[in-house]
Parts: sequence; C-alpha cells; structure tokens
Amino acid sequence: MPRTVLEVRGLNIWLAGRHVVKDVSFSIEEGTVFALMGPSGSGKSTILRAVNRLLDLYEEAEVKGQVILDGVDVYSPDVDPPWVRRRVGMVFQYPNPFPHMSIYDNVAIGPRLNRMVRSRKELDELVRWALEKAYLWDEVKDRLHAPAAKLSGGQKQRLSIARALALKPRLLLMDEPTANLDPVATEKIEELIIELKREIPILLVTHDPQQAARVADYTGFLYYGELVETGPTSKIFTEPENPLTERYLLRRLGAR
Amino acid sequence: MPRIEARRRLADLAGRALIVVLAAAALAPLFHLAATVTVNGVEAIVRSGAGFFTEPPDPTDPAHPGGIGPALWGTAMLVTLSTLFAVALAIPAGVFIAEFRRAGISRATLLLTLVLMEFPTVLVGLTVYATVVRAFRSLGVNQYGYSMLAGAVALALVVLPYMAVQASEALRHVPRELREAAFSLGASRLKTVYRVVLGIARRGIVVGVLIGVAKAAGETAPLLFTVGGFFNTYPGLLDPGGSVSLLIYEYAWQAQEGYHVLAWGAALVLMTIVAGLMLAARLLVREVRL
Repeated sequence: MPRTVLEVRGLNIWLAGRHVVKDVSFSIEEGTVFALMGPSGSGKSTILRAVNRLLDLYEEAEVKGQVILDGVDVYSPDVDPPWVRRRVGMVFQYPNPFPHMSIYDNVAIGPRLNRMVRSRKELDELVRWALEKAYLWDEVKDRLHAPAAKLSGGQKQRLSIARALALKPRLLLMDEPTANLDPVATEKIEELIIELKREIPILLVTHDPQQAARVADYTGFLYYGELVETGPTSKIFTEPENPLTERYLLRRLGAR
Repeated sequence: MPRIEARRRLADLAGRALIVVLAAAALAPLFHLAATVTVNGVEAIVRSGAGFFTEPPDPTDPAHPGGIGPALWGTAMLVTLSTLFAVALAIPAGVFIAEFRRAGISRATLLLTLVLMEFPTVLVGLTVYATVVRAFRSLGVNQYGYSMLAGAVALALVVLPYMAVQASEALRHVPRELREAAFSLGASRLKTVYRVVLGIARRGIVVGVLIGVAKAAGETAPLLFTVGGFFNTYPGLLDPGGSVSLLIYEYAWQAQEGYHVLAWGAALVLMTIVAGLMLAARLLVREVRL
C-alpha cells in the first residue's frame, strides 16, 4: 500500500471572520497528483496556504483542524513554520522568480537560506539538478548568471518550480501554475507535473477541470469552502456521485 | 443653432487661453529664478575662472572675488556625513515601519518619523546647538564649539524622516507573491526582508536617499547654529566651517559688491547640484516603472 505523505483532517479556515473552508478532509499518497478544482473564490488557494502555513502571515486568518505531513501535524505547537515550509515546495499562480536575482541565484537561494550545502561545487550540482528536473537546464545553461527577469513567462514558471525543487521538498504545492501561461507553456508544465510526481507528490489547485483530468490521479471538487466530492480522477469525471459535481463538470465540459 | 455652436467654440477657446495663461503665470517665477541665477552666476564664475571652485573668497576685489572652495568642500563633507548617518538609521526604520506592522513599536516609529518630518528645521539646528555644540565647547574640542560634525548631525535629523518614509513605501510596494515566495522557501521574516525584499525595493530606496541628499545640500537653517559660518579655510571634521547654502545666506545681505558676486556664483553651483540630484532621482524612478 502506498505511503500517505499528506493528510488533511477536518480543516476549517476563517478569513476575517468569514468561514471560507469548511471541514475539509483529503489525503495524498506517494507518487500521485491530487487536484483541487473548483470555481474562483471556493477556497482552493486558502487550503494550499494552510498546508505550508503561509496563512500565518495573514493577520486575519484562523485555522482549525489537522494537516499531517509525514506523520507530523504542522499545526502542533512545537512545530516551527519555516520548518514546514522547507519541506513543502510551492509554485504560485503568477510566475514569480525574484526579479533582482540571476537565474542561478533564484535556484540557489533556498539552499543558501537554509544552509543546505557546504561547498560551491555542491551548490552548482544542486542548481543543475533542480533546473534539469524543471526542464529548464538546456535553455539556460549558457546564461545562468543572466537576470531571471529576462526569461519568458513559461520559463519563469519553470524557474519557480526549480527554485522550489532545490529544497528537495516532500510535497509540492501548485497554485494554478498555468493560469497566466499560453497553451504551449501550459502543456510543458503539465508534462513536467506528470514527470515530477514520481518523486514528489503534488497538490495542484486549478479552476480548469480539463487540467485536472489531464494530470491528476485524484481529484477533489471544492464548492464554496466545502469539499463536495473526492476520488480517483477517472471516477469523478465519468460517474460523479454528487449532482453538484456533475453540474459543474457538464457546464464546463459543455462549453467546448 | 449655428449661433450656439459659435458661442461654444468661443467659450472653449477662452477656457483654453485661460489655462495656458495661468500655467505660464505659475511657471514664470521658476523660469525667472532659474534665468536670473544662471545669468548672474555665470558672470560671477567667469570673473574668477576655475579658481571659483577652489580658492577661498576675496570679496574686497569685485573684479576677481576669489571662490567658494572651502564652502563647496564643506557642502560635500556635510552631505556625505549626514547621508551616512541618516541612511544607517532610515533603512532599519523603514523596514520596521513596513515589515513589522503588527508591532506597536512599528506604529510608534512611523508616528515619530512623521513628527520629525514636520519639525521646523531651525529648531533641529537649535537642538543640536544645545547638545552637541555646547558639549564640544565645554570639552574644548575647539574655541567656538561649532563643527562640521554638528552640522552633519543636524542635517541627518532633517533628511532622515524623508528617507525612512520613502524606504518604507518602496518596501510596501514589493508584490505580496514575491514575499510569499521567500517565506515558502523557509526564510524567516528578517531573512525575507534582508535577502529578498530589500533587494527588490533597492531602486525605490536609492531614489529616497537621492532626494534626501538633494535636500541636505540645499538646507540652510539646520546649519545656522551648528557649523559656525566660516568660509575662508578648508574645515576638518571637528573644525567650524560653512556650506554653499550658508555662504549664500551670509553673503547676500552684506553691503559690498564682492560678496554679492560670490553669492550669485554659489547660487548657480547649488542650483546645479540640487537639480542634478533631482534629475538622477527622476531617471531612476522612470527605470523602476519599466
């Protein structure tokens, strides 16, 4: 039986007093992609930010429930938020490499911040590994010290992925990673997701059901803070149990 | 119908003419000022030649009145020192105001900064007189107690709040997603600021520093009671001295023509310095927007 990497149990989140995530539970196993799909404002990104405790930075956020990463509840009082964030990589909706740094420094900053490497050689190898994993190495190997701001949108997003991978995370969070990319760049990222999941399980947030259908092994449908239905992607898309899921999928798929 | 049309056109024309005239009226004093300073300043500098920038003043001979060398050196010294002092305090203060907004001490810092910004500069000068200058006098640092160091402290207090507020604004404009990216890599709050956010905001911070430098170069009141107003010898750090702005103030109301010539020349030099710094700041701001 595959190992469970992340288990979310009875998660409730309030933002400025508004109950935006209601009693959500799901889990992610080694070697899989779990897609959270749902309309805008349904709480998908909020759940993602609860997993790596980025919500701690929002003054008005309140979290209840359990988020268990490798057997450790990340909300237990003796857990330090940076410790969690080092183990969970995150890729954002808007490609956001640090614009004032070179391509190399963008990948190297995680290991440097966390003192993960002892020598320049070790760092060089780690940067190369992460860029290769993110399908970016061949495009940038001759200009590693060029500013990251000069890359194309798709390249920037792959650089953001490489930056997250350089910490060798146990789990990768992706917050609508292709929302701001063209179809060609989107396809590349989706290929990358399928390739990466073998080593790092991925929690993918998307408002595009077709993307979930293309890349996810398991899918959950989130509707106004409630996880309406979860299950293997093929089952959700062919025989959804909840009429809400069916309506959502029909409306979206019917638009084609 | 055509008559109404004609009336509309006339009203439109009159309105436009009024706007042009008012705009010209608003800008006229500025052009007059710049032109007067340039014409008189160039004439003054021509009388002394390149020596205007190095020689001490000799106002007894209007045909060859010497130069403003020591005052120019004084301005360079005061601006450099006060900028160093102010930046050392303003950047941590800006970080505090922008990044630690939940802490009460952050709000207190902002409030104090705003109060300091509105504080009359002549009182800043008096405060430094009452503390640094009097202490130096009783310690016998020099005969008068006035020093370039005291002037730099007063100028630093005047420009510090501008630099701090500008730095906090620049930091605040760093997009949330870049901040979140830094946190998501396991960076602490302080490391996020020092390794990432400050780097992204650096242009905006430099713009604030440049504006502060320009202000420091032009300020006169903070120096009235602190540097002593000596324009004839090149001052050291603990000596009394002067600045270009203070020289203009002191010389412009003397009776003899030689003083006026020097003051005009000094005015052109000061205007060029300040305009150059402001232009550099504008260019940097434009680059930030790209």
